[in-house]
Amino acid sequence: MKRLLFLLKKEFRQIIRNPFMLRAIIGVPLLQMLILVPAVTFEIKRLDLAVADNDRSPDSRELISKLTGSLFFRSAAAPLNMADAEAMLFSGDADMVLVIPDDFSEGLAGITTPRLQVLVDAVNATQAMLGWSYLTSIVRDYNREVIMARGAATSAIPGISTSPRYWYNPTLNYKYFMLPGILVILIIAIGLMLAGLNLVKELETGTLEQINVTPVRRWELIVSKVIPFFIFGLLDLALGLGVGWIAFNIPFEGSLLLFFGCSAIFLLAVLGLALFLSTLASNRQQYLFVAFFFTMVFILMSGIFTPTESMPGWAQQFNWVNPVAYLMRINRMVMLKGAGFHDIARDVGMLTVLAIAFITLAIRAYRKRA
Amino acid sequence: MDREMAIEVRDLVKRFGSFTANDRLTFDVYKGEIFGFLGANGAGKTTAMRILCGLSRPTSGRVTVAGIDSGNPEAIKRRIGYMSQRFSLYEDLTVNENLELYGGIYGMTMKEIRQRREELLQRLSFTGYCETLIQALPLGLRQKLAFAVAVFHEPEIVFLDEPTSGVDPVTRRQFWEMIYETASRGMTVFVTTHYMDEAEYCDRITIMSEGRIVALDSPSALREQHGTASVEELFVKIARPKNTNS
Amino acid sequence: MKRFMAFVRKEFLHIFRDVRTLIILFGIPATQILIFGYAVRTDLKNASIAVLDNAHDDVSNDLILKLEASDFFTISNRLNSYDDIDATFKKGKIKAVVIFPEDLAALLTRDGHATVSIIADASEPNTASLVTGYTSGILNDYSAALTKHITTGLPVISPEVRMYFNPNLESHFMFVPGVITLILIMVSALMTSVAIVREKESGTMEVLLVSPLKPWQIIVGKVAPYFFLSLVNIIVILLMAWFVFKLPVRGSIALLIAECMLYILMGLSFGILISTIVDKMENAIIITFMVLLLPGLLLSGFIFPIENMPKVYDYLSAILPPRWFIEIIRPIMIKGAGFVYVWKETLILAGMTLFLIVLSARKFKVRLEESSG
Repeated sequence: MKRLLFLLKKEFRQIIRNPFMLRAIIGVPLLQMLILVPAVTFEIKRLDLAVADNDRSPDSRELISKLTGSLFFRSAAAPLNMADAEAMLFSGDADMVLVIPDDFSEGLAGITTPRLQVLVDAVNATQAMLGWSYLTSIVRDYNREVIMARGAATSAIPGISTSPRYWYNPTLNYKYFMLPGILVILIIAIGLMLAGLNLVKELETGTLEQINVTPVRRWELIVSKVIPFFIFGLLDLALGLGVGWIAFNIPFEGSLLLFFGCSAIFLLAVLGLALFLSTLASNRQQYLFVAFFFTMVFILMSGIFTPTESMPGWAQQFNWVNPVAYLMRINRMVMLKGAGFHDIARDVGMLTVLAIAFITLAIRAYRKRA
Repeated sequence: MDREMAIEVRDLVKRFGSFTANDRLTFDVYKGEIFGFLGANGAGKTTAMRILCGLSRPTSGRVTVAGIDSGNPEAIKRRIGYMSQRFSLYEDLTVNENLELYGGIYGMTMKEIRQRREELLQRLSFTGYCETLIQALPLGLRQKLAFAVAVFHEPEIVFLDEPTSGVDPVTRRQFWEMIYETASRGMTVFVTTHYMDEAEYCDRITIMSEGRIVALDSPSALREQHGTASVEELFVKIARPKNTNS
Repeated sequence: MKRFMAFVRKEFLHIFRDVRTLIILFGIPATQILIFGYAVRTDLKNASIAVLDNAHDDVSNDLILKLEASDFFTISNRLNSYDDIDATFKKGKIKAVVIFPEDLAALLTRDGHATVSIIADASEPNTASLVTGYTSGILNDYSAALTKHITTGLPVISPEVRMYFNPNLESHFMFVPGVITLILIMVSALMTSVAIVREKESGTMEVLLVSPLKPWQIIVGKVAPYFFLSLVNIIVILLMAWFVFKLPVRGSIALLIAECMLYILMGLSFGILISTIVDKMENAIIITFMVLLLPGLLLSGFIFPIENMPKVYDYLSAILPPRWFIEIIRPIMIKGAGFVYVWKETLILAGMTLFLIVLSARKFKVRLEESSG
């Protein structure tokens, strides 16, 4: 135990002596919070809609003004013909093209069936889908008005509308969504990158050899690497949260203590994993690539940015060992919904199991050789 | 000859895949002597030394260091000191901080550390550098400090792996004075080198070639046996590896 | 020149002899493409929703069946009261609650109009808006079918849609080009800066610098293997995209490879620049990681479309090379665009590359003069 204190003293001296490291530990959360949090949004801005109006009737103009007057679309230059329309999708000048055939008003008059043709740039599948669904609902409304103007009874055209309400974030503010996620990214970067690199650096520069020939115990060495980064991680978290609070006025519904407690467990799991991985690497370059891999996989599969339900079964199973997935859920629940311990007990439990497992793995995998 | 044994090695074999780095080494090191381990680069010196220090396990054979079997490397580590071929102290810590760290790891109290540190630095005429970061020290001083760290906790045996490589002749001289002084206080010194003149300073030497021991005795006895004027000549005569450009 | 070739050969051997590094350099990008191509989707599938059915009539039963039958939703809870909603959300699984009003069917037949409420958990606003969007889509379809059924003879507009470039609406069409962008910058920028800084740290750089090799030869020799590795990586990834995800390169392969080479060159020069600025590897890593990886992930349009961000990010992301590269390779790969469609972006990327090369060459020279002085 006394030995651990000497090791810790050494770690702290080294970190404090590296001004760059200190600046990074303080500067990175500030920058990440301020730049990344407001950036991200899936909210679809107005799509560029080009209309090829072959009908040129009052009816078609009415429909067009309904579409471009809505919040969803913005009119783009009109294409000359079908080939031109496709070229616009190609070059990105339009996201969607609506082709109104020349018999559209005749159709509305009941002579033929009124048709519309829509071409959508579907590279971004989600955007394409939503754009299409906005368009059909506007067309339906317009259709309803036309039919009613012809004197039909309202019950002849039944319509079910939806009234959405958004709980916990009524204005669909993406900052509330991103901030808990960026906080997680912040501490995984510190844990996975810095701590692991530190151990691999000692291996690569040879200082670890001198340590390995002493009677130091494996757990003492691993713990001496965990504690400093654990403390810096929590400090960073506090800093990041503070910035989020001041700059974005993020609501915090739940218990701050619960939030920090869960993050602390998460940090232990990540540090354990980092040190375990670093025992497998033989130089920093290798470690870096491996750490980068895990960071990316953990983050992208955790549901920080994308819904996990859409993933195939095996990917959802992977999240059983993905600490980011647990903390992600916990953070959003605690910060935005004000969930209490009993609501998240299962996730906290799993996170604890992971933390214990990873740290044990790191201690066991560490060989006092090399 | 019933001298006490510091190290006993019997039929030590170490293989890496199909490559045999140490081939049936057998030797003893007596307490308090300076034991030299000679050989060209790649002869297997460092491999053997790492096994003795518990950094690596033998493939077969029996190794006893300070009376402890090599199956228990952690117990061996408590009783030895080690200076690596590659400089391996923390360059972003000061001289004092490095000594404090290693003293602490070997279980010394802060008071003991301070006391012994002063004494040791005095002896090595290092006192002006206590608060200097290692990265600011010249190579010669770094090597001296690495030695100081290796003997700081007063181990029974100290292992030095090519301690003087790359050091100027004056510092080398001083270095060997330090080694003598250490041995005179009863510590066993196990040293590898490829400087043949240094071999003359040892009580006994072994010469290794291609993983085998080809000679083992005091330098004077070896010179006599082979009728050579210096260890260098002797070495050229018996330790020439077949593959000369290794 | 002969000396230079010998040096380059040595650098190649250095990397290619290290099996572990090779496995990492090739295995990880391949795995990443697989994982992200298969797993990460921005669209919604099988989202758990709950239903609060106050109507219990034919219409609500039909609608529940329709919701259940869609790929988007799984109905995992049936609530009995409005008060259960908060507790259900706090368990975390349910994304939305769909509430059918009392006498839904009666309202429809009498007024021709009824409103279904959706309460979405907007702590994930994206999922929330997708859930409400999809739900109203399903309700729309249902009422359109009802209308057809009832109103024979009335003019009902039937729009038809063609989804271009991605008819099955696969979300990995967006992802694969983005993953390529990130992997390339990792291999080129991060690996080179780390490799050069390592030489500086261990002092071998000085040995090289006093050798008869010219400084630019040393640098080119150092980065040449990574250029080659990145190219091989690209080919592996493209083949995987093709065979595994049926994501063909619709445009010219030669153009695509040429653009990739330009981008790799940019990454390498960025790596060199970092290595001239810092002496410690950790610092090189932190800089690359912070400058390229996170902003690259979030601001380059890889996951989040730039046009949806606040306007200032349009300008901010303009200094990020990954953004331009994504805008180049996405149309080439997915739309089959030719050079005429991407020349502007290419020019910008080329300009950035040139700038980085000049800057790092000058920095490097200054460093040399400092260290020799």
